[in-house]
Amino acid sequence: MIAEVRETSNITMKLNGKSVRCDGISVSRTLIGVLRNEFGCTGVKNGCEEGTCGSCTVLLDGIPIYSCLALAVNANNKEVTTIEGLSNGSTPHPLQKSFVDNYAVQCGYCTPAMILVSKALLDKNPNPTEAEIRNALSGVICRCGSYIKVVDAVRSFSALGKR
Amino acid sequence: MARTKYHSDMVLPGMLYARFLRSPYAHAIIKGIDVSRAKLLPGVHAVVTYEDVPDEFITEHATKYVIIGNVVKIPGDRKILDQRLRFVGDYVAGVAAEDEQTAEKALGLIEVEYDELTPVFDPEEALKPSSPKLYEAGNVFNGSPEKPTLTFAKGDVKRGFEVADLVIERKYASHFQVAMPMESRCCVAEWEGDFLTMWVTLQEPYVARRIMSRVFGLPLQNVRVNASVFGGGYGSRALPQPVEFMAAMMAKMSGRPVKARLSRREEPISNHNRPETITFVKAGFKKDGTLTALDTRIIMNVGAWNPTEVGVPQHMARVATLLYARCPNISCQILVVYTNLPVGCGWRSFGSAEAIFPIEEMMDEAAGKLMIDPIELRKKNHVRTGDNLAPMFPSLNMSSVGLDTCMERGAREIGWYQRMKRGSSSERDISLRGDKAVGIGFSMGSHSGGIRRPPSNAMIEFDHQGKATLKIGTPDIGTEQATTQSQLAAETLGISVDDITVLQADTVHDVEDAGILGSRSTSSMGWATVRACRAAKRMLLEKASQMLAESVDQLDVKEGVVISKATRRSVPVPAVCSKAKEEGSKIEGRGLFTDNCEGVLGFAVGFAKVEVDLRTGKVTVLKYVNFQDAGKVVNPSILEVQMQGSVIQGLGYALDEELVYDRKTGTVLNPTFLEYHVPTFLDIPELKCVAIDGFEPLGVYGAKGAAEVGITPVAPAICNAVADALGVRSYTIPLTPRRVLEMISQKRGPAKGRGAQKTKGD
Repeated sequence: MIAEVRETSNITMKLNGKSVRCDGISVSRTLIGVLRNEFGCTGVKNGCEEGTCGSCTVLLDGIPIYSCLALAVNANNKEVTTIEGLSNGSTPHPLQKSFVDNYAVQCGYCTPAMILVSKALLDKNPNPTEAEIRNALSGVICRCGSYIKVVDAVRSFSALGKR
Repeated sequence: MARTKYHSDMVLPGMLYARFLRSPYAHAIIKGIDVSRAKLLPGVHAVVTYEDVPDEFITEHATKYVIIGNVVKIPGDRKILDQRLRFVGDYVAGVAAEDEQTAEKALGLIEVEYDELTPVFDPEEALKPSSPKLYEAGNVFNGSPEKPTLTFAKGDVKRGFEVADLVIERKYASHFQVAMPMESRCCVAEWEGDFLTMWVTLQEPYVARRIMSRVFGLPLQNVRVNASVFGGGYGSRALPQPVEFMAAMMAKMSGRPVKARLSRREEPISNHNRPETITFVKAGFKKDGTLTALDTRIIMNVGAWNPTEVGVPQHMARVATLLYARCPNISCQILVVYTNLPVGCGWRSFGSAEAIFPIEEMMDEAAGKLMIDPIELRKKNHVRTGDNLAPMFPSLNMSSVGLDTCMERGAREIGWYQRMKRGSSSERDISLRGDKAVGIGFSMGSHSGGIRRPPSNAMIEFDHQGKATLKIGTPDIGTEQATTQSQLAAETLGISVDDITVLQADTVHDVEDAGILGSRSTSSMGWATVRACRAAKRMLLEKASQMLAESVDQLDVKEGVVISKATRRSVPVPAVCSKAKEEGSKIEGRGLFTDNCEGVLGFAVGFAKVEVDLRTGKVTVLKYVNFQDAGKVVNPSILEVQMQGSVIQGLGYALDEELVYDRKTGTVLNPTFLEYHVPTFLDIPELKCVAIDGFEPLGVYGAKGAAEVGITPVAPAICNAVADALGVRSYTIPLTPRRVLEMISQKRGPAKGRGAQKTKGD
């Protein structure tokens, strides 16, 4: 564990569509830490904290990144999307619903990451092949083994023609 | 804020964060420990060492257990903290501080003087008289090198070998497999006076409560354990470990809640891994394939202590002796051996996968030598519905065995008979030309199907608006038991699943349950749910009978309405509940399942088609087919997910996953996902999982447990497929590229004057 550096910075970003700001953040803090603790985004999951499992994936300007390997200051003046940004109040996003309907959620811990990476893929490529889906999602590990159902969920969402 | 609250997301007012100091040595004694400087660090509120905790065993029974009806005294092994350290990573001290950084810093201020002892890592070494001993009673749990932990015997194996036409004797090895759930172990402890609440990532909350109450000297009702949802377990998080007790102790010392969340690197040494096993199998066959004798000796490397006591060895013994129970002469010995390694007592099938792999490899090898189709060899010998299992497991019921159907359908699915057309591997001349070799293999598998002690309780209660709440003890670790149990409840009560809310795994509900493991939730927990609902239904009908002035036996509940079979008069369930409330009562029911038997077995058959890259040794599974006998399936979609998950974990067990440790120091070398390879999206073969139509007479609505058995045939099916491809067999898993390359060079024969290599086991 690395001790926090004393130098601090203020971070302004768009988080799930809202402009937010956080002051006095040590420049050595990771993005996952600030998202979870300062902004209460507990949907960003700690799987390993060293970039080997993908549970902490968020979208930075629409691109999936491991938030455990990003510094919080890297998000300054950028757009961050976490799983909390997908649902509309208590109404799930159709992609989230597709995951549930296709039994693509077991313990649920990797699910936020799976959904965000799927969304990023579908935003670029609305009709991905199975191989493209597997490749795009290969950076997220699911120990429960939901892989096949996740592919089903993405394909079924894509087949609905929804964006 | 995400809506599902995992324990690692919990924040309580005033909460402290714990970090743990762990032993750098595999075997050592703490000669002296000085925590004074750590205690003085600003922000530190509690430091705990072996001197501060109750001197109590944390294992479940520690004093007694029941093995096949006999009460046996079981020695306790693990204390909360001990002066003696038994693996690299063993617990030396804990610190609770305002934040993790401070706690980590405080660990660096703890001064420890260690007396290093010689460690032992190899379980066969640990059995020798000259070996260092982990415990005073020696290195065998509940036994000695001469007296195995468990022994089962039927008939006379010596005689059975004498009458055999073919006897094969082999030694097999399997390695530690780490469960690696995505949410690392986490607990939160909070005291309010003499009342302790624990939020834990444990699969047996009621067992944890019992142990906590014993260890801390509290009445049962003063301990509350909540394990309602957490990120995976698979059996590796069945029981509490020192972490939970240390967190509770530090919460008591500091007067503040304490959260202990372990890092990914601590995971492989903080749950229980699948044990390393060394298995000797000797089997005797007649020329026509009839098994005349089967002798299995399993050395189970359990590591530094043994949380499941005889639980896992019993599962091993069941499959090692019952899959071929028709054989008149069977013997099985299991030695549970301590070594200075992280705990390896089992998960996902709790011993069955470890025990099935050697036996099913043996059968495949025998089929080749006997020139009998491997499927026909199994059909000739496997256990069947109604078979008598005395004297080994007289109270285990062989009431539904769907193996033949699974084998036949799986064979068609994989194209098994095309394989036979080209001859089995021992007949074919496999010269391994070109870059790739393809093979097909299969294996039977089995594991507990539940419906056995220990107990489950359930409670259902209706509010005055007719909505029901079902309380069960099963945690939600991804198996969707809330859905399955609510289906069983809805079916029994005659109401809609939408009118049922399920509350799980919080001991405040007071529905004692043995936990989610052993594939017992649908089958055993299910029976408790059904019985609770039957009791509630009786109450409902009695009240409705008063309201309708009709006899109870004329009434039934259909789609939320109580209706008279005779007159067709009816009253909706909500109206009945409301009437009960007016009269000061409530429609409710409790159910208990604790049938004192060994339960039933579930079955799975796996077929694998593999391609071996002869240059790199990499084995790619092209297609895997899993057919299971799960009795009557309650929820096909949920079961399919569990079947897929079991097979995928089995792929890791067969091909890539192996806990690697330094052979001199015992330090784990691959503790993260980077070095320890679990299957990813890119590793999944074409996979077909099917549950055949079955019916288990003892099962709730015909169902039996099925979420684990799918893993048991995977490793042997793949080993058999690789043997089919290469014409040479591995007796060790995982089949890493390095091992496969060794097999290939062995097959290709001696090169550059190295001399002929012996086939293993000859």
